[in-house]
Amino acid sequence: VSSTALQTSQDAIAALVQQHHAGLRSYLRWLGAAGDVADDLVQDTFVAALARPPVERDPAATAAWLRTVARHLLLRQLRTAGRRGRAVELDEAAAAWERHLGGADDGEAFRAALRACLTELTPRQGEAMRLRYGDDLPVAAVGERMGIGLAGAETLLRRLRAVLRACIERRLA
Amino acid sequence: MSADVFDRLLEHVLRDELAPAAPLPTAELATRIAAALAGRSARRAAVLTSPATAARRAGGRARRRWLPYAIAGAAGVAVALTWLAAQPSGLTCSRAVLLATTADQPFTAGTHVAAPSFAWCIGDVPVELTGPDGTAASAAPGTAFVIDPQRRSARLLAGALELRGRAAPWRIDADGVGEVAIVVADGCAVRCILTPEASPPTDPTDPTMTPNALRARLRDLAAPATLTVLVLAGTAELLTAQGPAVLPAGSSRTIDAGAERTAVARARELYEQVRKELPPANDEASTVARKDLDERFHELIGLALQQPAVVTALRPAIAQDLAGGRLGAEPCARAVQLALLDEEPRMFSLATRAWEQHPERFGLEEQIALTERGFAPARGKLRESLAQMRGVQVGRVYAALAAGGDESARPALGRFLRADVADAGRDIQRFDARCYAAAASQQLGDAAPMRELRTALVAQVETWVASGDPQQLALADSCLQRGEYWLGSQQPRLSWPDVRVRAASPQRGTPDAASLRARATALAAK
Repeated sequence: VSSTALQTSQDAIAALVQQHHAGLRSYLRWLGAAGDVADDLVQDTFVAALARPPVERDPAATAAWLRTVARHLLLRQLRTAGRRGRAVELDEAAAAWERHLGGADDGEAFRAALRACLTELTPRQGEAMRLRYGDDLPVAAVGERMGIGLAGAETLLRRLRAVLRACIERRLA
Repeated sequence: MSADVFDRLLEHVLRDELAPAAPLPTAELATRIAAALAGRSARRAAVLTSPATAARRAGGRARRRWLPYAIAGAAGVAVALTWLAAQPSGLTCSRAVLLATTADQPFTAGTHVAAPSFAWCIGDVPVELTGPDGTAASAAPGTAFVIDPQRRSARLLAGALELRGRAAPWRIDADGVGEVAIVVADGCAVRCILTPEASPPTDPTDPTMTPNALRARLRDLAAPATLTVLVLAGTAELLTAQGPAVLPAGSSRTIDAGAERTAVARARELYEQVRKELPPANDEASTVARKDLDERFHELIGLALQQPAVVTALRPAIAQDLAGGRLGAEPCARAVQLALLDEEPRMFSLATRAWEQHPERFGLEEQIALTERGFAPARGKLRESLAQMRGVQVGRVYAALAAGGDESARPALGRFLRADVADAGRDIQRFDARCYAAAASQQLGDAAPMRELRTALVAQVETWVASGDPQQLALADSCLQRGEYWLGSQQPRLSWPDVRVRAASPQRGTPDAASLRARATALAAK
């Protein structure tokens, strides 16, 4: 019986992790945590959360609650590292996340709108986006690949982000 | 919300969408969390904190709604303790090591590991750990690892750990080398060395030192991790993204995470080059440029077949190129080949879409690749081309047709399966044809031809090796190399077989009798 109970509990942990792992990691990265720090904090968040089970919530509320725990853990780590000045910046970032991605669908509508908007770009625009954000090339290298200078690439990427923003807002309206 | 913050958020989501990072695998994370919780439960049983205190610590104020859950949690702890009590009593250390049951708990000296723990072997002499079932481990000075006696798992963080398994298998993995694990069964002994071996420079008496701090200091060493596995006795199993591999006694394997990162960077660079259209080869310069591009493409294919991370890294760019339909004919053909070397269904689907637009761009290998995975239009075309084929090439086409669901091709496999391995010296292609037919049979659910091929090959290798003739040794080497792909892969594919065989079995220099026998033994054990 004990073994079965333990297995059930592990299944529940696996289900919770499966559902919220990617979103939580992305959130911590957005708040400025480095990749390895984000990995550690995601683990600590789940451990802290599961050690103190929350009241029963729907998945969106659970995700919000996990983000709160994760943000507190990150804040604690920043304070330990003596980086108090980052807290304000972090609050602003957290607010931006909640505004655009922290809704009932955990940001899926935003992401779906973005994916749809990406398909509306011209091939050249799509290429610029892929080089900059998919291959993580510096802006200068993107300019070089696109046959334009650094300033041209900066302008192109800025305009594309504006186009995407308008498109996303239109689709979400 | 300022446009600036939205812009940054958009950039972040774009990176998530266009280049999703590879976080810790979810299953592994869940296991770690379960282990950490088990450790907490065991620790908290002694000093069970009141629910109100726990709530105050968590959020700064008591929350009565936690009470039912805290009671349930306490009941859970009791269940966990009952379960833990029923288990063997952990591992005993030959001398004190630093132990911590959670990542944020300071290390304390101890000589017994009962619960999942971080262990750090300080001092100048190795530490021996022994379990009640006879399991024995030895940790070199400076070694840090996570060990769970109940789950029979260990995760190496730094240093060298030797484990002699008894009873149920143990599983060892290591930080920083990706999804790799070694299964150590009863009677097997392995030594795992994670380099850099140097323990982080720190003061082991620091009362605030925690496993998290230790990990952070290990990260600060910033050297690429290499895991070397040496099998001292018995047979170990190595689990990687490419599937399981059997490591017999005396064999060793090195997993180099640094090499993987380098390969991914190189592959990205190469893909950028091969996706470009080159002008026709009208003069010497353009001919040289074409030849150079071909070499780069072959290098890229080799990287893709040897490093699964390369395939994953290239996937978004290839998918975008194929979906966009803007590549020229030759770059498109190269992208299609890369897509067909990828087992991801989405990439196969993109390749089939490319077929629908330009079927004339698909050569024999692409047709075989599509056919063996059941794409009917390519199957029809491949069947038509059978009429113009001669020799054992026909064997591979029949094998692809049969594997892809063409029932009429299945009876033709029989004559290729009857090829004698001993005849490989006269015509190696007949041996190849038997491999193709056996692979197709296996895909259709009949594993007997593969088993028979394995037995025949291992026996024949012994005959060739016993002759001592250098030519026979070279023949044994060549057939073993083929066997290592066809018999060693989880799902061998019939397209581009030469490239796949070469990628699966790197060159080892001049073959000698001992190494050939060891390889044959390893092949027999798979």
